[in-house]
Amino acid sequence: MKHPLKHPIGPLAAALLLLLWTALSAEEPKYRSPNHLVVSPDGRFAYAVNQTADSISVLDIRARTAIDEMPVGPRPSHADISPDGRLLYVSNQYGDRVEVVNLKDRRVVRALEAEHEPYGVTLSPDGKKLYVAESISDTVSIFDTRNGKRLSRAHSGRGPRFIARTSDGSKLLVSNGMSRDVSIFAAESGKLLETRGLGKGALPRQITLSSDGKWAFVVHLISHDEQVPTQPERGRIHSNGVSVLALDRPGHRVTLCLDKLLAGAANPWGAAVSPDGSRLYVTLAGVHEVAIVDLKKTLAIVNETSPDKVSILEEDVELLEKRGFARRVTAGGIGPRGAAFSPATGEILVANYFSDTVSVLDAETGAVRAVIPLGKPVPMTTWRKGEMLFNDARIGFQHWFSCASCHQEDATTDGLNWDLTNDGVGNTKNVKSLHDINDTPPAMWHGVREDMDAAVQSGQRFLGFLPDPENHKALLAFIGNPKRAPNPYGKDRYKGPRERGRTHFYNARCDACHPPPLFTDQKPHDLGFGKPSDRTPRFDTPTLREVYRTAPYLHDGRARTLKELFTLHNGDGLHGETRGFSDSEVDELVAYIKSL
Amino acid sequence: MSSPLRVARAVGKKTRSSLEVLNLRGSRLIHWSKGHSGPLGVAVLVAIAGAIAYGHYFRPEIGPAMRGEEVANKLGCFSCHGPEGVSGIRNPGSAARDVPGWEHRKISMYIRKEEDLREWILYGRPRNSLMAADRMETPGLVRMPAYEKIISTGELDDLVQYLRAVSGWAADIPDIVYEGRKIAADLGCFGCHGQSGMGGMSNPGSLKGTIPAWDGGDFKQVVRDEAELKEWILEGEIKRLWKNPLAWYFLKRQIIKMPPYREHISDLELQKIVAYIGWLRKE
Repeated sequence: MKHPLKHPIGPLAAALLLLLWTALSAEEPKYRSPNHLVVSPDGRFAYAVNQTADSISVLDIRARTAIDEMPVGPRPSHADISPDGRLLYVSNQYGDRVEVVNLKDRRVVRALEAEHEPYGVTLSPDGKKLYVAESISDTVSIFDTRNGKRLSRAHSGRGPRFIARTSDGSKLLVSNGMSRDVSIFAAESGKLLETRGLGKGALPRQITLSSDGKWAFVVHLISHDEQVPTQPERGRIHSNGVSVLALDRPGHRVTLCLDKLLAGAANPWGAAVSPDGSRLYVTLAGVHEVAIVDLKKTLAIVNETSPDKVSILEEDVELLEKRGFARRVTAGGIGPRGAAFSPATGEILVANYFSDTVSVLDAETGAVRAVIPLGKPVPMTTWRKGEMLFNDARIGFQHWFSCASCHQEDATTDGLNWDLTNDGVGNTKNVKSLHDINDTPPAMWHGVREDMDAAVQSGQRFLGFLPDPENHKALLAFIGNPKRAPNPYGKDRYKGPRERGRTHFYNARCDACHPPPLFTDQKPHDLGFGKPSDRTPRFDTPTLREVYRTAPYLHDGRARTLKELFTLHNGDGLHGETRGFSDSEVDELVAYIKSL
Repeated sequence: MSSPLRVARAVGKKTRSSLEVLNLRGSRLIHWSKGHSGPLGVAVLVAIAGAIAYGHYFRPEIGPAMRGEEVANKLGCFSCHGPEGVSGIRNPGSAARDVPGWEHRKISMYIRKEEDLREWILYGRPRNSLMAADRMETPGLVRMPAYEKIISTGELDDLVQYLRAVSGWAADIPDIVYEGRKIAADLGCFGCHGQSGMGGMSNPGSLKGTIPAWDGGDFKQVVRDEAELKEWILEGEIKRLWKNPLAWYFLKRQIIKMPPYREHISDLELQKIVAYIGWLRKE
């Protein structure tokens, strides 16, 4: 026998294989993360929008299997199907477009160029128009589906997420994820008709309509940012519910909590109405349940609620148990988000984001009939576990809220001002995005936590989350390594203003406190923004990275836009030497800052 | 200009001239003593030496920040940066609109460390700093001149101290110190003790003729420890000095008396001011 070293090919091949194996195993596993579901008009198929796999899974509902998977553009988030069932319109959140998928040969045939981060999409009843909520541009666009041209574009509230239209196709309703309201548009002209407030409602998610088109249902948190968040009991920090809006009565809103007295209904996400109009299904993403809402009882409560009782009712976390207007059942998976009704089988389908499954629930009883895996189960990395825990209210006291209740599912911000007690009371602070917490210690506006580890630990100690070393590790892995969205303001179309804005950035001395590459000097500064109740007049310089998605600005969110920051809130020129800038120069400066 | 510095200097001159008188008399005494007894002459000499030492010891203190103000005046800094450097004149075409004043929040947009401050004065812009010198070329009609050729090293040091006093600027200042300075400014301490407490106005009739700065040597004579400092702030006087007849005489006679702040200051505020003074003295 020859000595193996005399023939190096064998060991070499082995080494190569080993290398290949490590390279392959080091690659991040691909999770599907179904975010939304669409059922075909004939009721045979369901299409799951896989947000992190950039694909659409095709499910045979009766066979309870995923039969196919087709690739689409980056970060598909929502979809709608044409009335004839031939085309699927898929929003590519990170591709800034809506792709048109031919369902016959299951491939993308066309794409409509949208504004930044299109999320919710919906078609007109005849399928000739497509309505798109553009979540970063804060706009709603109407497209002609025949030629792909944009017909109109109008401003909504902040962070428009989901979009629904009345069954007659006359009105559009848009839930604004960051501005505690719903925008109502005329579907024909695209004109804004009304902005309807949601009271203490925050982070609104899916909006849907009753089958008669008279009522709209929008699910959201009820965030009590008006008080010091020390007691999670009775939903005093966050409770969770659904708002019922009468479309024919401007300003009408009645909010019903889906919580139970001792069990919150954290992070309501998806909503679907049964075709007969008797039930509303709400997925509760933070507690992995589905609330089956009896619409007859619900509308009875809504009708008996006089306007002066609305704000009392929205705090009533015993309502569900007292009036029995809803039941909560298990979702059959972790992180239920999109829900769709399957009329052919009388079932409700639920997309479970973290389980990579679609569960099938009996529409009547809510019993789990089947759980359809979208592919081979992929073991969770620590990062993925962290993402799951971040969105999981079960690690919190009585499941009232999860980390995502203030920081959204992507670890950014809800845009609200909260009065945390770590820097005294009576001094509310705008929620900061967590994306840079690892790179730019200290944490919090006054820098009261030395770093991410200390901040997450104190979150566990003081905000009712159950401390656990394993969970802590996973949460740090997730928070410390954020998956950032591609910055749309780095696109070529902004190049001119952006480059001029870069010169302004240095001329205005912005780099004195916001030096690249972190765009913060990580030091405290007093720009005269503090008030006597603040712990100190100095605030930790926030990073400017991803500032395009963290409005409003300054420690108490007093500036709604970056332009306001340099005009209304910089009269003394202490926050950058911008007093000599013309209007267009400020715009250029903003264009640069948004691209960071 | 009737700056506190000038008054202080005038007071200084007065003290010196009175010493000269003393000297003159001394020399007559010496002359007179020559023909008489030896021990008396020695005693007179000792007395004269004592008087000179006394005069030297009690001369008013003029700190670097106070001298720096003179330098700023001489170089014409106030012409563009405004009186006392608080707000500048219009600078058309600049992003800032105006020539920057020296308030610390403004000045920290232009300097990160003391070296930057020196470079601005010497070269009209930071040269070696990390402060992105190539990008510091801000547009605007009024440009900062370079004083490299006409300023002496001593003058530069004084001017820098003056700028620090006016602006209150310091790199990496701790929270408590920052707040202490802010509280001291709000309470009006700097009105008498000078900008940032770095030397200020005269006080006719007092031992030295000036109100002591917090950062100089005079401070040590009247404040021996933290307890005494707190006593000064709260009561406006300290018991130790009342026991000393000479101190008692001057404390009684001086025009401006330290006000007692007991009713107007919290324990926390007092702590912060004490922290600021401690920080200032260690600088």
